[in-house]
Amino acid sequence: MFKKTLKDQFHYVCNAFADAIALQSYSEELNYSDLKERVSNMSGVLMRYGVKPGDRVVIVMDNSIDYVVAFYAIWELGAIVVSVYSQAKNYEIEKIINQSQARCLLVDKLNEEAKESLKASGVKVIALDEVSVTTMDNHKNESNIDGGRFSADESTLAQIIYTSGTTGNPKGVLLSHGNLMANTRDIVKYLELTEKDSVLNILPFHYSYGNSILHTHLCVGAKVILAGSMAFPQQVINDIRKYRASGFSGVPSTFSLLLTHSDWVSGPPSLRYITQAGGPMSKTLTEQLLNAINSQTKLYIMYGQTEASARISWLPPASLIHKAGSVGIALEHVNVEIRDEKGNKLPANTAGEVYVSGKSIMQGYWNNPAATEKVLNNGWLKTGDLGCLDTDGYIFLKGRNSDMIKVGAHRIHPLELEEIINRLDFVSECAVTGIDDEMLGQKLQAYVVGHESKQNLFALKKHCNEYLPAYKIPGKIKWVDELPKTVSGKIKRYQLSSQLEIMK
Amino acid sequence: MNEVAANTEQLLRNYILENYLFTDDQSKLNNADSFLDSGILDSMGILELIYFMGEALSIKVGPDEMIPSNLDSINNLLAFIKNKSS
Repeated sequence: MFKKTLKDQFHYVCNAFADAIALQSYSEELNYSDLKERVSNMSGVLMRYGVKPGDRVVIVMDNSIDYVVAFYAIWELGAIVVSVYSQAKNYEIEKIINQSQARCLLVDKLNEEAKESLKASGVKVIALDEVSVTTMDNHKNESNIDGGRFSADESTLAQIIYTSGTTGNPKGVLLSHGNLMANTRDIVKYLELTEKDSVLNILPFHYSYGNSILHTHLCVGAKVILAGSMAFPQQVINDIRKYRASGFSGVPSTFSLLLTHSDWVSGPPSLRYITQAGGPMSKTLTEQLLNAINSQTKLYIMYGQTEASARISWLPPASLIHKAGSVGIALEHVNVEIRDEKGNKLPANTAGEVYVSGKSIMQGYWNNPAATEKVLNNGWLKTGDLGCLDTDGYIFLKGRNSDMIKVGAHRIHPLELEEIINRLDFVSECAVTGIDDEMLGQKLQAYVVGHESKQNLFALKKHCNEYLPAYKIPGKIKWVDELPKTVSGKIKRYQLSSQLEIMK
Repeated sequence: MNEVAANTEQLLRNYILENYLFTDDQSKLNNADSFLDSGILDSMGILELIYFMGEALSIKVGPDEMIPSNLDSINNLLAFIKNKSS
Protein backbone atom coordinates (compact mmCIF):
# COMPACT_ATOMS: atom_id res chain seq x y z
CA MET A 1 0.00 0.00 0.00
CA PHE A 2 2.78 2.48 0.82
CA LYS A 3 4.73 4.32 -1.82
CA LYS A 4 8.43 5.06 -1.34
CA THR A 5 7.90 8.69 -0.28
CA LEU A 6 5.14 10.69 1.42
CA LYS A 7 5.05 12.85 -1.70
CA ASP A 8 4.13 9.85 -3.85
CA GLN A 9 1.80 8.57 -1.14
CA PHE A 10 0.02 11.93 -1.20
CA HIS A 11 -0.63 11.61 -4.93
CA TYR A 12 -1.94 8.10 -4.39
CA VAL A 13 -4.43 9.01 -1.63
CA CYS A 14 -5.61 12.12 -3.46
CA ASN A 15 -6.73 9.85 -6.28
CA ALA A 16 -7.87 6.90 -4.19
CA PHE A 17 -9.89 8.97 -1.71
CA ALA A 18 -10.73 11.98 -3.88
CA ASP A 19 -14.09 12.75 -2.30
CA ALA A 20 -13.08 12.05 1.29
CA ILE A 21 -12.48 15.02 3.58
CA ALA A 22 -8.75 15.51 4.14
CA LEU A 23 -8.74 18.66 6.23
CA GLN A 24 -11.40 20.23 8.41
CA SER A 25 -11.11 23.64 10.02
CA TYR A 26 -13.78 25.68 11.81
CA SER A 27 -14.52 27.58 8.62
CA GLU A 28 -13.78 25.14 5.84
CA GLU A 29 -13.48 21.52 4.83
CA LEU A 30 -11.38 20.29 1.94
CA ASN A 31 -11.53 16.91 0.25
CA TYR A 32 -8.45 15.17 -1.13
CA SER A 33 -9.25 16.16 -4.69
CA ASP A 34 -9.50 19.86 -3.82
CA LEU A 35 -6.43 19.62 -1.61
CA LYS A 36 -4.50 18.21 -4.56
CA GLU A 37 -5.64 21.11 -6.74
CA ARG A 38 -4.62 23.71 -4.17
CA VAL A 39 -1.23 22.06 -3.71
CA SER A 40 -0.77 22.11 -7.47
CA ASN A 41 -1.64 25.80 -7.64
CA MET A 42 0.63 26.68 -4.77
CA SER A 43 3.56 24.78 -6.26
CA GLY A 44 3.06 26.86 -9.39
CA VAL A 45 3.31 30.03 -7.31
CA LEU A 46 6.50 28.77 -5.67
CA MET A 47 7.96 27.98 -9.07
CA ARG A 48 7.37 31.57 -10.06
CA TYR A 49 9.38 32.64 -7.04
CA GLY A 50 12.23 30.49 -8.29
CA VAL A 51 11.97 27.54 -5.90
CA LYS A 52 14.03 24.61 -7.14
CA PRO A 53 14.83 21.09 -5.91
CA GLY A 54 16.88 21.21 -2.74
CA ASP A 55 15.92 24.79 -1.89
CA ARG A 56 14.88 25.49 1.66
CA VAL A 57 11.48 27.16 2.04
CA VAL A 58 10.59 28.50 5.46
CA ILE A 59 6.93 28.42 6.55
CA VAL A 60 5.81 30.66 9.42
CA MET A 61 2.10 29.93 9.66
CA ASP A 62 -0.50 28.78 12.12
CA ASN A 63 -1.84 25.25 11.86
CA SER A 64 -4.24 25.71 8.96
CA ILE A 65 -5.29 24.39 5.59
CA ASP A 66 -2.90 26.91 4.02
CA TYR A 67 -0.05 25.41 6.05
CA VAL A 68 -0.73 21.90 4.76
CA VAL A 69 -1.11 23.16 1.18
CA ALA A 70 2.20 25.02 1.43
CA PHE A 71 3.94 22.01 2.92
CA TYR A 72 3.02 19.57 0.19
CA ALA A 73 3.50 22.19 -2.53
CA ILE A 74 7.12 22.60 -1.41
CA TRP A 75 7.60 18.85 -1.74
CA GLU A 76 6.09 18.93 -5.24
CA LEU A 77 9.13 20.91 -6.35
CA GLY A 78 11.64 18.71 -4.50
CA ALA A 79 12.38 21.52 -2.07
CA ILE A 80 12.89 21.22 1.67
CA VAL A 81 10.30 22.36 4.21
CA VAL A 82 11.50 24.42 7.16
CA SER A 83 8.59 25.11 9.46
CA VAL A 84 8.88 27.68 12.25
CA TYR A 85 6.63 28.43 15.21
CA SER A 86 3.99 30.90 14.07
CA GLN A 87 4.57 33.18 17.07
CA ALA A 88 8.35 33.28 16.65
CA LYS A 89 9.85 36.74 16.71
CA ASN A 90 11.83 38.08 13.75
CA TYR A 91 15.03 37.43 15.69
CA GLU A 92 14.46 33.67 15.56
CA ILE A 93 13.02 33.64 12.05
CA GLU A 94 16.08 35.47 10.73
CA LYS A 95 18.44 33.06 12.47
CA ILE A 96 16.68 30.14 10.82
CA ILE A 97 16.58 31.83 7.41
CA ASN A 98 20.32 32.44 7.66
CA GLN A 99 21.23 29.03 9.06
CA SER A 100 19.16 27.19 6.47
CA GLN A 101 20.09 29.62 3.68
CA ALA A 102 16.42 29.68 2.75
CA ARG A 103 15.26 30.90 -0.62
CA CYS A 104 11.69 31.75 0.32
CA LEU A 105 9.62 32.56 3.36
CA LEU A 106 5.90 31.78 3.35
CA VAL A 107 3.84 33.67 5.91
CA ASP A 108 0.16 34.06 6.63
CA LYS A 109 -0.06 37.08 8.89
CA LEU A 110 3.13 38.98 9.50
CA ASN A 111 2.79 42.72 9.82
CA GLU A 112 4.42 45.02 7.28
CA GLU A 113 7.27 46.00 9.57
CA ALA A 114 8.21 42.37 10.17
CA LYS A 115 7.99 41.53 6.47
CA GLU A 116 10.25 44.43 5.48
CA SER A 117 12.76 43.49 8.14
CA LEU A 118 12.88 39.90 6.89
CA LYS A 119 13.19 40.95 3.26
CA ALA A 120 16.40 42.71 4.27
CA SER A 121 17.92 39.28 4.93
CA GLY A 122 17.64 38.60 1.19
CA VAL A 123 14.93 35.95 1.37
CA LYS A 124 11.87 36.20 -0.86
CA VAL A 125 8.83 36.80 1.33
CA ILE A 126 5.54 35.37 0.08
CA ALA A 127 2.59 36.62 2.11
CA LEU A 128 -0.37 34.38 1.46
CA ASP A 129 -2.86 37.19 1.77
CA GLU A 130 -1.08 38.95 -1.09
CA VAL A 131 -0.98 35.99 -3.46
CA SER A 132 -4.15 36.41 -5.44
CA VAL A 133 -6.38 33.61 -6.57
CA THR A 134 -5.77 34.83 -10.11
CA THR A 135 -2.06 34.32 -9.64
CA MET A 136 -2.68 30.80 -8.44
CA ASP A 137 -5.03 30.01 -11.32
CA ASN A 138 -2.46 31.27 -13.81
CA HIS A 139 -0.05 28.62 -12.67
CA LYS A 140 -2.55 25.80 -12.69
CA ASN A 141 -1.12 24.19 -15.75
CA GLU A 142 2.49 24.82 -14.86
CA SER A 143 2.72 22.32 -12.09
CA ASN A 144 1.39 19.11 -13.42
CA ILE A 145 0.74 17.42 -10.13
CA ASP A 146 -0.37 14.13 -11.60
CA GLY A 147 2.76 13.92 -13.70
CA GLY A 148 4.84 15.13 -10.77
CA ARG A 149 7.39 17.75 -11.67
CA PHE A 150 10.02 16.32 -9.40
CA SER A 151 10.56 12.70 -8.66
CA ALA A 152 11.65 12.21 -5.08
CA ASP A 153 13.23 9.08 -3.72
CA GLU A 154 14.17 7.97 -0.23
CA SER A 155 17.41 9.92 -0.24
CA THR A 156 15.76 13.19 -1.26
CA LEU A 157 15.95 15.72 1.53
CA ALA A 158 12.47 16.57 2.80
CA GLN A 159 12.46 18.68 5.92
CA ILE A 160 14.56 20.56 8.44
CA ILE A 161 13.06 20.81 11.93
CA TYR A 162 14.90 23.27 14.14
CA THR A 163 15.49 22.52 17.78
CA SER A 164 16.87 24.66 20.53
CA GLY A 165 20.63 24.76 20.17
CA THR A 166 23.33 24.65 22.79
CA THR A 167 25.21 27.71 21.60
CA GLY A 168 22.33 30.12 21.15
CA ASN A 169 22.01 29.02 17.54
CA PRO A 170 19.33 26.55 16.58
CA LYS A 171 20.18 23.11 15.22
CA GLY A 172 18.35 21.97 12.09
CA VAL A 173 17.41 18.28 12.17
CA LEU A 174 17.63 17.17 8.55
CA LEU A 175 15.18 14.48 7.53
CA SER A 176 14.98 12.70 4.21
CA HIS A 177 11.85 11.38 2.54
CA GLY A 178 13.11 7.93 3.46
CA ASN A 179 13.36 8.90 7.15
CA LEU A 180 9.81 10.26 7.24
CA MET A 181 8.26 7.43 5.27
CA ALA A 182 9.92 4.73 7.38
CA ASN A 183 8.65 6.33 10.58
CA THR A 184 5.21 7.03 9.17
CA ARG A 185 4.71 3.45 8.04
CA ASP A 186 5.61 2.02 11.43
CA ILE A 187 3.30 4.44 13.26
CA VAL A 188 0.37 3.78 10.92
CA LYS A 189 0.80 0.08 11.55
CA TYR A 190 0.79 0.13 15.33
CA LEU A 191 -1.99 2.73 15.55
CA GLU A 192 -3.93 0.74 12.92
CA LEU A 193 -4.80 3.96 11.09
CA THR A 194 -7.19 3.77 8.15
CA GLU A 195 -9.12 6.15 5.93
CA LYS A 196 -12.00 5.83 8.40
CA ASP A 197 -10.03 7.69 11.08
CA SER A 198 -10.18 11.36 11.93
CA VAL A 199 -7.78 12.98 14.36
CA LEU A 200 -8.59 16.17 16.22
CA ASN A 201 -5.24 17.96 16.28
CA ILE A 202 -4.14 20.63 18.74
CA LEU A 203 -0.39 20.13 18.48
CA PRO A 204 1.69 22.60 16.49
CA PHE A 205 2.68 21.18 13.10
CA HIS A 206 6.15 22.70 13.22
CA TYR A 207 7.21 20.24 15.94
CA SER A 208 8.00 16.65 15.05
CA TYR A 209 5.02 15.24 17.00
CA GLY A 210 2.44 17.42 15.23
CA ASN A 211 4.31 16.87 11.96
CA SER A 212 3.97 13.13 12.43
CA ILE A 213 0.24 13.36 13.20
CA LEU A 214 -0.34 15.29 9.98
CA HIS A 215 1.54 12.90 7.70
CA THR A 216 0.42 9.62 9.28
CA HIS A 217 -3.21 10.55 8.82
CA LEU A 218 -2.97 12.07 5.36
CA CYS A 219 -1.01 9.10 4.07
CA VAL A 220 -3.92 6.72 4.68
CA GLY A 221 -6.67 9.05 3.47
CA ALA A 222 -7.87 9.89 6.98
CA LYS A 223 -9.18 13.27 8.12
CA VAL A 224 -7.21 15.87 10.06
CA ILE A 225 -9.40 18.22 12.08
CA LEU A 226 -7.60 21.49 12.77
CA ALA A 227 -8.84 22.36 16.24
CA GLY A 228 -8.18 25.41 18.32
CA SER A 229 -5.72 25.89 21.10
CA MET A 230 -5.42 24.07 24.40
CA ALA A 231 -6.02 27.47 25.94
CA PHE A 232 -9.68 26.44 25.89
CA PRO A 233 -9.80 22.80 26.98
CA GLN A 234 -13.61 22.67 27.09
CA GLN A 235 -13.76 23.70 23.46
CA VAL A 236 -11.38 20.88 22.56
CA ILE A 237 -13.66 18.34 24.23
CA ASN A 238 -16.70 19.91 22.59
CA ASP A 239 -14.96 19.64 19.22
CA ILE A 240 -14.03 15.97 19.73
CA ARG A 241 -17.72 15.28 20.37
CA LYS A 242 -18.97 17.54 17.56
CA TYR A 243 -16.66 16.13 14.90
CA ARG A 244 -16.78 12.59 16.31
CA ALA A 245 -13.00 12.37 16.14
CA SER A 246 -11.60 8.85 16.37
CA GLY A 247 -8.16 10.03 17.50
CA PHE A 248 -6.56 12.63 19.74
CA SER A 249 -2.92 13.30 20.58
CA GLY A 250 -1.30 15.27 23.33
CA VAL A 251 1.66 15.88 25.60
CA PRO A 252 1.32 15.42 29.39
CA SER A 253 0.20 19.02 29.98
CA THR A 254 -2.56 18.54 27.37
CA PHE A 255 -4.15 15.79 29.42
CA SER A 256 -3.54 17.59 32.68
CA LEU A 257 -5.48 20.58 31.32
CA LEU A 258 -8.29 18.47 29.92
CA LEU A 259 -8.78 16.50 33.10
CA THR A 260 -8.80 19.58 35.35
CA HIS A 261 -10.44 22.22 33.18
CA SER A 262 -13.11 20.51 31.14
CA ASP A 263 -16.14 18.32 31.78
CA TRP A 264 -14.33 15.28 30.40
CA VAL A 265 -15.25 12.55 32.87
CA SER A 266 -15.52 9.57 30.57
CA GLY A 267 -15.32 9.18 26.83
CA PRO A 268 -15.83 10.89 24.40
CA PRO A 269 -17.29 7.73 22.89
CA SER A 270 -16.03 8.31 19.34
CA LEU A 271 -12.37 8.08 20.37
CA ARG A 272 -10.65 4.92 19.21
CA TYR A 273 -7.13 6.01 20.14
CA ILE A 274 -5.35 8.58 22.25
CA THR A 275 -1.60 9.04 21.91
CA GLN A 276 0.77 10.63 24.41
CA ALA A 277 4.34 11.69 23.71
CA GLY A 278 6.43 14.81 24.29
CA GLY A 279 7.94 13.78 27.59
CA PRO A 280 7.19 11.43 30.46
CA MET A 281 3.68 11.47 31.88
CA SER A 282 3.47 10.84 35.63
CA LYS A 283 2.00 7.61 36.93
CA THR A 284 -0.78 9.59 38.63
CA LEU A 285 -1.77 11.44 35.49
CA THR A 286 -1.62 8.24 33.43
CA GLU A 287 -3.97 6.54 35.89
CA GLN A 288 -6.34 9.51 35.86
CA LEU A 289 -6.39 9.45 32.09
CA LEU A 290 -7.03 5.72 31.97
CA ASN A 291 -9.94 6.16 34.36
CA ALA A 292 -11.38 8.88 32.16
CA ILE A 293 -11.56 6.94 28.88
CA ASN A 294 -14.05 4.37 27.65
CA SER A 295 -13.15 0.73 27.22
CA GLN A 296 -13.09 1.09 23.42
CA THR A 297 -10.49 3.88 23.57
CA LYS A 298 -6.88 2.74 23.53
CA LEU A 299 -4.14 4.84 25.11
CA TYR A 300 -0.75 4.72 23.40
CA ILE A 301 2.22 6.03 25.38
CA MET A 302 5.07 6.88 23.03
CA TYR A 303 8.63 8.15 23.11
CA GLY A 304 10.74 9.83 20.51
CA GLN A 305 13.08 12.58 19.52
CA THR A 306 13.07 14.96 16.57
CA GLU A 307 16.38 13.46 15.48
CA ALA A 308 14.56 10.12 15.05
CA SER A 309 11.76 11.53 12.87
CA ALA A 310 10.45 11.36 15.78
CA ARG A 311 8.99 8.08 16.98
CA ILE A 312 11.38 5.65 18.69
CA SER A 313 9.07 3.46 20.76
CA TRP A 314 5.42 2.77 21.60
CA LEU A 315 3.76 1.05 24.53
CA PRO A 316 1.14 -1.44 23.33
CA PRO A 317 -2.09 -0.61 25.21
CA ALA A 318 -2.30 -4.22 26.40
CA SER A 319 1.02 -3.69 28.22
CA LEU A 320 0.01 -0.45 29.98
CA ILE A 321 -0.59 -2.11 33.30
CA HIS A 322 2.10 -4.77 33.60
CA LYS A 323 4.74 -2.51 31.98
CA ALA A 324 3.60 0.64 33.78
CA GLY A 325 6.28 3.33 33.63
CA SER A 326 7.73 2.06 30.36
CA VAL A 327 7.71 4.02 27.12
CA GLY A 328 7.38 0.79 25.23
CA ILE A 329 9.16 -1.24 22.61
CA ALA A 330 11.08 -0.05 19.59
CA LEU A 331 9.16 0.56 16.39
CA GLU A 332 9.36 -2.22 13.83
CA HIS A 333 12.23 -0.66 11.86
CA VAL A 334 14.01 0.97 14.78
CA ASN A 335 16.75 -0.58 16.90
CA VAL A 336 17.37 0.48 20.49
CA GLU A 337 20.45 -0.20 22.63
CA ILE A 338 21.56 0.98 26.01
CA ARG A 339 25.24 1.92 26.13
CA ASP A 340 27.69 3.07 28.75
CA GLU A 341 29.77 6.25 28.63
CA LYS A 342 32.31 4.59 26.37
CA GLY A 343 29.68 3.44 23.92
CA ASN A 344 29.68 -0.22 24.97
CA LYS A 345 26.38 -2.05 24.80
CA LEU A 346 24.91 -2.86 28.19
CA PRO A 347 22.86 -5.91 29.16
CA ALA A 348 19.18 -5.86 30.11
CA ASN A 349 18.15 -4.03 33.27
CA THR A 350 21.36 -1.98 33.31
CA ALA A 351 21.01 1.79 33.12
CA GLY A 352 22.89 3.75 30.51
CA GLU A 353 22.24 6.04 27.57
CA VAL A 354 19.60 5.25 24.94
CA TYR A 355 21.04 4.76 21.44
CA VAL A 356 18.83 4.36 18.39
CA SER A 357 19.38 3.24 14.81
CA GLY A 358 17.19 2.57 11.80
CA LYS A 359 15.82 4.11 8.64
CA SER A 360 14.14 6.95 10.53
CA ILE A 361 17.34 8.40 12.04
CA MET A 362 18.12 11.87 10.73
CA GLN A 363 20.70 12.64 8.07
CA GLY A 364 22.43 15.02 10.50
CA TYR A 365 22.14 18.65 11.56
CA TRP A 366 21.94 21.00 8.60
CA ASN A 367 25.30 22.68 7.99
CA ASN A 368 26.58 21.68 11.40
CA PRO A 369 28.99 18.76 11.15
CA ALA A 370 30.41 19.39 14.63
CA ALA A 371 27.02 19.00 16.29
CA THR A 372 26.20 16.03 14.05
CA GLU A 373 29.40 14.26 15.01
CA LYS A 374 28.52 14.52 18.68
CA VAL A 375 25.32 12.51 18.30
CA LEU A 376 25.58 10.41 15.13
CA ASN A 377 28.08 7.61 14.78
CA ASN A 378 27.92 4.67 12.38
CA GLY A 379 24.18 5.10 11.95
CA TRP A 380 23.53 5.19 15.70
CA LEU A 381 21.93 8.22 17.33
CA LYS A 382 23.00 9.15 20.84
CA THR A 383 19.74 10.42 22.30
CA GLY A 384 20.96 12.02 25.52
CA ASP A 385 18.23 10.11 27.38
CA LEU A 386 19.11 7.77 30.23
CA GLY A 387 17.29 4.49 30.70
CA CYS A 388 17.37 0.73 30.51
CA LEU A 389 15.80 -2.12 28.60
CA ASP A 390 14.10 -4.95 30.43
CA THR A 391 14.40 -8.54 29.25
CA ASP A 392 11.33 -8.12 27.04
CA GLY A 393 12.86 -5.14 25.26
CA TYR A 394 10.72 -2.53 27.02
CA ILE A 395 12.39 0.85 27.54
CA PHE A 396 12.30 2.51 30.95
CA LEU A 397 13.61 6.07 30.94
CA LYS A 398 15.47 7.58 33.86
CA GLY A 399 16.02 11.21 32.90
CA ARG A 400 18.10 13.32 30.57
CA ASN A 401 21.85 13.43 30.20
CA SER A 402 21.79 17.06 29.19
CA ASP A 403 20.70 20.51 30.27
CA MET A 404 17.68 20.57 27.94
CA ILE A 405 14.48 21.82 29.58
CA LYS A 406 11.04 20.52 28.62
CA VAL A 407 8.18 23.00 29.10
CA GLY A 408 4.90 21.48 27.93
CA ALA A 409 5.58 20.44 24.34
CA HIS A 410 8.61 22.70 23.98
CA ARG A 411 12.28 21.67 24.22
CA ILE A 412 14.47 24.58 25.27
CA HIS A 413 18.19 24.79 25.85
CA PRO A 414 19.09 27.27 28.61
CA LEU A 415 22.07 28.70 26.73
CA GLU A 416 19.71 30.09 24.12
CA LEU A 417 17.91 32.18 26.75
CA GLU A 418 21.02 33.08 28.73
CA GLU A 419 22.61 34.57 25.65
CA ILE A 420 19.65 36.95 25.30
CA ILE A 421 19.47 37.92 28.99
CA ASN A 422 23.23 38.48 29.23
CA ARG A 423 22.97 41.27 26.68
CA LEU A 424 21.37 43.52 29.28
CA ASP A 425 23.80 46.01 30.79
CA PHE A 426 22.47 45.54 34.32
CA VAL A 427 23.06 41.76 34.14
CA SER A 428 26.54 40.41 34.96
CA GLU A 429 25.62 36.83 34.17
CA CYS A 430 22.68 34.47 34.46
CA ALA A 431 21.63 30.86 34.38
CA VAL A 432 18.30 29.43 33.30
CA THR A 433 17.01 26.15 34.68
CA GLY A 434 13.82 24.16 34.68
CA ILE A 435 11.86 23.73 37.89
CA ASP A 436 9.29 20.99 38.27
CA ASP A 437 5.73 21.94 37.43
CA GLU A 438 2.74 19.68 37.81
CA MET A 439 1.01 20.94 34.69
CA LEU A 440 3.88 21.60 32.29
CA GLY A 441 6.52 19.15 33.44
CA GLN A 442 9.00 21.97 33.90
CA LYS A 443 8.84 25.76 34.06
CA LEU A 444 11.63 28.20 33.29
CA GLN A 445 13.42 30.02 36.09
CA ALA A 446 16.29 32.44 35.60
CA TYR A 447 18.96 33.16 38.21
CA VAL A 448 20.37 36.59 37.50
CA VAL A 449 23.46 38.23 38.91
CA GLY A 450 22.51 41.87 38.68
CA HIS A 451 20.87 44.77 40.41
CA GLU A 452 17.45 43.77 41.63
CA SER A 453 14.67 46.27 41.10
CA LYS A 454 11.12 46.27 39.83
CA GLN A 455 12.26 48.38 36.91
CA ASN A 456 15.02 45.93 35.97
CA LEU A 457 12.63 43.00 36.25
CA PHE A 458 10.23 44.70 33.86
CA ALA A 459 13.06 45.61 31.50
CA LEU A 460 14.40 42.05 31.52
CA LYS A 461 11.06 40.52 30.57
CA LYS A 462 10.40 43.18 27.96
CA HIS A 463 13.84 42.54 26.50
CA CYS A 464 13.16 38.79 26.31
CA ASN A 465 9.79 39.47 24.70
CA GLU A 466 11.50 41.29 21.84
CA TYR A 467 13.49 38.22 20.91
CA LEU A 468 11.62 35.21 22.19
CA PRO A 469 8.13 33.71 21.98
CA ALA A 470 6.11 33.66 25.19
CA TYR A 471 6.95 30.08 26.14
CA LYS A 472 10.69 30.87 26.24
CA ILE A 473 10.40 33.80 28.62
CA PRO A 474 11.35 32.72 32.17
CA GLY A 475 8.35 33.10 34.45
CA LYS A 476 10.37 33.44 37.61
CA ILE A 477 13.47 35.58 38.04
CA LYS A 478 15.71 35.11 41.08
CA TRP A 479 18.30 37.79 41.75
CA VAL A 480 21.47 36.28 43.21
CA ASP A 481 24.93 37.39 44.29
CA GLU A 482 26.73 34.68 42.36
CA LEU A 483 26.18 31.44 40.48
CA PRO A 484 27.56 28.09 41.66
CA LYS A 485 30.37 26.98 39.37
CA THR A 486 32.83 24.17 38.90
CA VAL A 487 36.56 24.69 39.25
CA SER A 488 36.73 25.29 35.52
CA GLY A 489 34.05 27.97 35.70
CA LYS A 490 31.11 25.97 34.31
CA ILE A 491 27.76 26.78 35.88
CA LYS A 492 26.40 23.98 38.06
CA ARG A 493 22.83 24.03 36.83
CA TYR A 494 21.76 20.96 38.73
CA GLN A 495 22.70 22.76 41.93
CA LEU A 496 20.59 25.77 41.03
CA SER A 497 17.48 23.66 40.72
CA SER A 498 17.95 21.96 44.06
CA GLN A 499 19.66 24.36 46.42
CA LEU A 500 18.38 27.48 48.14
CA GLU A 501 19.27 30.51 46.09
CA ILE A 502 21.97 32.84 47.38
CA MET A 503 19.86 35.89 47.97
CA LYS A 504 21.10 39.42 48.24
CA MET B 1 -19.66 52.73 31.09
CA ASN B 2 -20.07 52.96 34.85
CA GLU B 3 -17.21 53.41 37.25
CA VAL B 4 -16.99 49.77 38.36
CA ALA B 5 -16.85 48.55 34.80
CA ALA B 6 -14.22 51.16 33.93
CA ASN B 7 -12.09 50.06 36.87
CA THR B 8 -12.43 46.42 35.87
CA GLU B 9 -11.39 47.24 32.35
CA GLN B 10 -8.30 49.11 33.53
CA LEU B 11 -7.40 46.34 35.96
CA LEU B 12 -7.54 43.73 33.22
CA ARG B 13 -5.71 45.88 30.70
CA ASN B 14 -2.92 46.69 33.15
CA TYR B 15 -2.59 43.02 34.11
CA ILE B 16 -2.15 41.98 30.47
CA LEU B 17 0.14 44.90 29.61
CA GLU B 18 2.43 44.38 32.60
CA ASN B 19 2.63 40.60 32.64
CA TYR B 20 2.50 39.66 28.97
CA LEU B 21 3.42 42.70 26.91
CA PHE B 22 5.89 44.05 29.47
CA THR B 23 4.94 47.64 28.86
CA ASP B 24 2.79 50.37 30.37
CA ASP B 25 2.07 51.84 26.95
CA GLN B 26 -1.72 51.58 26.72
CA SER B 27 -1.66 51.87 22.93
CA LYS B 28 -0.05 48.40 22.66
CA LEU B 29 -3.27 46.63 23.58
CA ASN B 30 -6.61 47.00 21.84
CA ASN B 31 -9.67 45.76 23.65
CA ALA B 32 -10.69 43.76 20.58
CA ASP B 33 -7.31 42.02 20.15
CA SER B 34 -7.56 38.22 20.34
CA PHE B 35 -5.06 37.10 22.98
CA LEU B 36 -4.38 33.85 21.17
CA ASP B 37 -4.27 35.09 17.58
CA SER B 38 -1.90 37.88 18.48
CA GLY B 39 0.26 35.59 20.63
CA ILE B 40 -0.27 37.65 23.78
CA LEU B 41 -1.36 34.62 25.79
CA ASP B 42 -0.87 30.89 25.38
CA SER B 43 -2.74 28.12 27.21
CA MET B 44 -0.82 28.72 30.43
CA GLY B 45 -1.44 32.44 30.14
CA ILE B 46 -5.19 31.85 29.98
CA LEU B 47 -5.00 29.78 33.16
CA GLU B 48 -2.98 32.48 34.87
CA LEU B 49 -5.54 35.05 33.75
CA ILE B 50 -8.36 32.96 35.22
CA TYR B 51 -6.41 32.70 38.46
CA PHE B 52 -5.93 36.47 38.45
CA MET B 53 -9.66 37.06 37.87
CA GLY B 54 -10.43 34.85 40.83
CA GLU B 55 -8.00 36.66 43.10
CA ALA B 56 -8.49 40.25 41.98
CA LEU B 57 -12.14 40.23 40.93
CA SER B 58 -13.56 37.21 42.75
CA ILE B 59 -14.73 35.88 39.41
CA LYS B 60 -14.78 32.11 39.19
CA VAL B 61 -14.55 30.56 35.74
CA GLY B 62 -16.00 27.08 35.39
CA PRO B 63 -14.58 24.55 32.89
CA ASP B 64 -17.54 25.03 30.56
CA GLU B 65 -16.98 28.79 30.64
CA MET B 66 -13.41 28.47 29.39
CA ILE B 67 -14.24 29.34 25.81
CA PRO B 68 -12.85 32.05 23.54
CA SER B 69 -16.03 34.12 23.51
CA ASN B 70 -15.65 34.56 27.28
CA LEU B 71 -11.91 34.95 27.61
CA ASP B 72 -10.07 35.71 24.40
CA SER B 73 -9.96 39.52 24.49
CA ILE B 74 -10.52 42.40 26.88
CA ASN B 75 -13.95 43.00 25.30
CA ASN B 76 -14.92 39.35 25.69
CA LEU B 77 -13.76 39.35 29.31
CA LEU B 78 -15.78 42.47 30.13
CA ALA B 79 -18.93 41.04 28.58
CA PHE B 80 -18.41 37.74 30.42
CA ILE B 81 -17.87 39.49 33.75
CA LYS B 82 -20.92 41.68 33.20
CA ASN B 83 -23.08 38.61 32.52
CA LYS B 84 -21.73 36.84 35.59
CA SER B 85 -22.48 39.82 37.76
CA SER B 86 -26.07 40.35 36.58
